[in-house]
Amino acid sequence: MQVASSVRSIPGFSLLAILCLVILYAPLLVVMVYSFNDSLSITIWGGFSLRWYEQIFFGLEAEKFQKAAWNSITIAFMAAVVATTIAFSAAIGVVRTSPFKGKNLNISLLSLPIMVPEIVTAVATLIFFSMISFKLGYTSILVAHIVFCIPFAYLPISARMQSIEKVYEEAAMDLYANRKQIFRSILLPLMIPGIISGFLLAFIISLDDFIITSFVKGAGVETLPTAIFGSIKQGIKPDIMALSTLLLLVSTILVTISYFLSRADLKNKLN
Amino acid sequence: MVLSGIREQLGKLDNNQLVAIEFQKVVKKFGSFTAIHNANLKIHDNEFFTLLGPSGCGKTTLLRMVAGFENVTEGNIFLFGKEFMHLPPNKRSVNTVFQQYALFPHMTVFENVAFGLKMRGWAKDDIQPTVWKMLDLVRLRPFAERKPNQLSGGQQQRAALVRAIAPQPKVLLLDEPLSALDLKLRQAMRLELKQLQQETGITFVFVTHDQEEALAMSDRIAVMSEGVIQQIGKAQEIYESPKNEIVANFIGETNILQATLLELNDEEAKYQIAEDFIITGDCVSGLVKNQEVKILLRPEKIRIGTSDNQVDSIQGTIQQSMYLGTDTEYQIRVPGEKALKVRDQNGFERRELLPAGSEVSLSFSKDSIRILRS
Repeated sequence: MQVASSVRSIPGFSLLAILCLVILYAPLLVVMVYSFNDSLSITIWGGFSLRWYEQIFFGLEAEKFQKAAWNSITIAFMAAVVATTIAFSAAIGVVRTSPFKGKNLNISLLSLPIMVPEIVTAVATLIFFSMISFKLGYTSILVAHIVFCIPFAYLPISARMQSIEKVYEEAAMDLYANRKQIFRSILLPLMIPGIISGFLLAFIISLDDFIITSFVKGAGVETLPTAIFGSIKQGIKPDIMALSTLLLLVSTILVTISYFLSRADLKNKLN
Repeated sequence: MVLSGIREQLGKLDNNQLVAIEFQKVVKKFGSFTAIHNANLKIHDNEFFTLLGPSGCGKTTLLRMVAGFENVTEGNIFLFGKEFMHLPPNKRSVNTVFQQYALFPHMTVFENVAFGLKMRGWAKDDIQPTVWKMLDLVRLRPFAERKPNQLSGGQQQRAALVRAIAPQPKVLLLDEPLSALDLKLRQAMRLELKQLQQETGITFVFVTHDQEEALAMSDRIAVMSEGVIQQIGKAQEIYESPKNEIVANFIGETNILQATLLELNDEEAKYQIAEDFIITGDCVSGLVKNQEVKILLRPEKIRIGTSDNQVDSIQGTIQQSMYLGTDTEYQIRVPGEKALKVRDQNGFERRELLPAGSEVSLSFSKDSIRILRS
C-alpha cells in the first residue's frame, strides 16, 4: 500500500472539508453580501446598494468612525514600528549570540505573553496605569499596543533569523567587512522578509485588538473595534457590516502580502 | 614583483623556502576537550598544502584559527613571520572558501566577487576590471548577473573560489570545498584548483578527508588524527613510507602483520610472521634480534604467481575474490591463519579470475615492505 495516499481516498473527507469551510466562512460571507443590501433589515435582501458605504463615509456617524479609523491606523502603525524594532533587537540578542545564562528562559519569556489570557493582560495593564497615574487616552492605548505586539513581531523575525546561517556573517567578516558593514549589507537585507512579516503581523494584531483597548482607552477615545462595539449596542445596522467588510479587506490584503513574501523567500531557499 | 620583495623581508626561510604560515606549539581546547595537541607546522609560500584526516581530527579547527574564527588556547601562529593572532578576521589578509560556499544569496555573482574589494576600500574603477578578470578566470562572465541559487553546484563552487581570491590574500584557506559536488565534477575541479593555485601563486591550505583528493593535488600533505599531526610530507612519501600505523591505515589500504626480527646483517633483515612465513626486508636502525615489529604491505605490491630469485614467496589459498574493473581484490589465506588483501591489476595481460580455494604463490619484493617498530 502506498503510504502517502490521496486525500480523496479518505472516507467522508470532502463532506467534512466542505462543512468546515462553510462554518468558517459563511458568517463572513453573509456580512460581506449584506453590506451591499439596500434594505435597513439585516436579514431581508432588498436589492443591491452602496448606501451603507456612503453612510460610513458621509452619514451621521461618519465623523466618529473616521476618527476611530484614524486612531486605529496610526496606533497600529506606530505600535508595529516600535514593536518590530524591539523584536528585531531581541532576536539579534537571543539568536545571534553564543549561549548565555538564562538564554532559554529569555526565549520563553518573550513568547509567553501570547499564551496569557488577554483579559488578564488587560486588567493588569489597567491596574498598572492607574498605579502610576498614567492618564488614559490615545497614548495609553499606544503603549499597551506596543507591549503586546512585541511577541507577535518576534515570532516571524526570530524564525527568519534562525534560518540565516551564521556562515554568511563569517564569510563577510572574512572578506574584510566590519560589524557595521556586516549588519548593513548582509544581515539586514537577508532579514527583510522576516521584518516585514513581523511588522504586518503586529499591525494586524494591533488593528483589531478589542479587549485590552477597551480597558485602557479612557473616555472619549475610540478605535475601530471599540467604535463598532459601541454602535451595535443600539442594534446591528447594515453600516456596521460595511465597515466590517472594509476591515476584512485591509486584513486580507496585509495577510496576502505577507504570504507572498514568505513564499518568494521559500522559493529562494529551495533552489 | 614588489609583493614578493616585501614577503622576503617578512618571512622566515625553511630549507630555502619562504614560510607562509607557521604553527608553533599550537594547542586548542574546547572546554575540557583538547581539539589540537601541540601542532607544529610550516606551510611554505606558493605551496598547495593539504590538511588530511577523518572528520573530527581537528583539521578544520586549524584552518579556523588561521582565519580568525577560533582563538588559540596555547602557542602561536605566524603569517609570513608576523604575529597576527590578535587581529579580528576582517583584518587578516587570508580568505576562506567555505564548505557550503556561503555565497551571499541576495547578491549577484558579480556583487559577491566584488564584496571583498569593496570592503577593502578599493575604488569603483579598480573593482570592475578585477571582478571581470576573476570571472573570466573561472569562465563565469556570462553568469555575472545571476543570483547564486540560479547557478549549478560547480558554478557556485567556482564563484566562491574567485570571491575569496579577488582581494589577493596572502593565503587562501579551503575548507572541504569539493565535498558537496558529485564525483565527476569533483575530479574536474581538482585539476582546476591546482591550475588556479599555480596561476595565482597564492599559498593554498586545503582541508579534506578525501585521501585521493589530497594525493592528487598537494605539494605537501599533513595527515592528522585525533588532534595530532601524524606525518608531514609529499604525497609519495606519505603513501610509500607512512610513519605509523594510523597514517598507513588512513592513506590507502594496507596489510599490517605482526612479526619478530629473526636475524639481521648490515643490509637486510629477516622477519618471521609465522613458522613458515618469513620475509626479507630493510634493516631499520636500532632494531635488535627477537624484537617485535609490524610489517606494512600494500595490497597492490604483492604479486600473485611466479616468483624469481629476487623476492620472497609463500603459498596461500584464495578465500574470496572481488572483481573491481581495473583490478581484482583477493582475500588470501597465508600461514599463521592470516588473510592478506591482494590487488591484482587487470592490465596489459588479460588475467583469468582465480576461483576461491585456488592455491597460489605470493611474492613480495624487499622494497615493497615497510617495517614499523611495535
